[in-house]
Amino acid sequence: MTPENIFNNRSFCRCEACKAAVHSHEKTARDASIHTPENISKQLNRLPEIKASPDFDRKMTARFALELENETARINKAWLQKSRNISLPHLISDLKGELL
Amino acid sequence: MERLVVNKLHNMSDEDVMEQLQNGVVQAFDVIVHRFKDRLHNFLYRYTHNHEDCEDLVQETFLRVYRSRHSYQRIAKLSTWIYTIALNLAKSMYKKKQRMSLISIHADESDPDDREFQITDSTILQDEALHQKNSVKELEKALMELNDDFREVIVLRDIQQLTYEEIAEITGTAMGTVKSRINRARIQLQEIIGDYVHSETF
Repeated sequence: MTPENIFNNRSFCRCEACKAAVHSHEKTARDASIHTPENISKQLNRLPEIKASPDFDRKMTARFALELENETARINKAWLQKSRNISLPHLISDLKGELL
Repeated sequence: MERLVVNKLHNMSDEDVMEQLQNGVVQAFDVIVHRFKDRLHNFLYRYTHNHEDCEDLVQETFLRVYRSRHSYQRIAKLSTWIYTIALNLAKSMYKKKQRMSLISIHADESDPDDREFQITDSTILQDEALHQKNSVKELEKALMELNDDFREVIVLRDIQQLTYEEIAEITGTAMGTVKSRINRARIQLQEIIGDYVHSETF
């Protein structure tokens, strides 16, 4: 008896032949549901959605804070390089003069 | 005050939020992250098949969005622009991993017993066991077997549900090419899954 015949006769026990018949039948049914391009498209749409982990926001915030810090450092460095003839002590005394 | 700004941002379109970021409203970045983090995870996981790599890529994508904020122009949808960045990052990471997966150990020419050999690192992009019983796993495995051009279009279309126009823009290909790649990708997936069944049956 082939596995398909055993399945059609609907007499199952726990022997290897019956197990194979059930397995084969389930597999055929499952494969039939997926084996056309249209169904593949539907199945892909039903794939479980992968979401961000619960601590993703915390990690992202930390990386973004670092990014902002680096950006500020870069801007400051560029400003200092552009304005080489401006020295900070002079700036401070100028400010003092204006404020006092 | 800050809460007011954030509430206002949450009611804006993606493109308006991006404009705020371009104008220096840093809180706009959090809103963009909040809106796109799950979509990007779902998209990039199909590339990496590894949660850790996927998370790194998503973070890197958002940082690139911030760094290149001034190059974004409103003629494109923000989502399309972000997907383009993510796809480019995924491609370069994939290439880097492929290069790293083959570690060559050079032989010492003066030593006759020291022959050159290569070690393939099987931990990278590891497939699940060949005979999957679960159709979801079969599909995910089959997706990983598609070539890059096919995988990117079918993930964008059938998983991310983007339009053909958006996919053409993201991948930088003509719409006709996108449509034909999607069809061929579906047929190829069908064939790959058929092979699993065949090898499992016999």
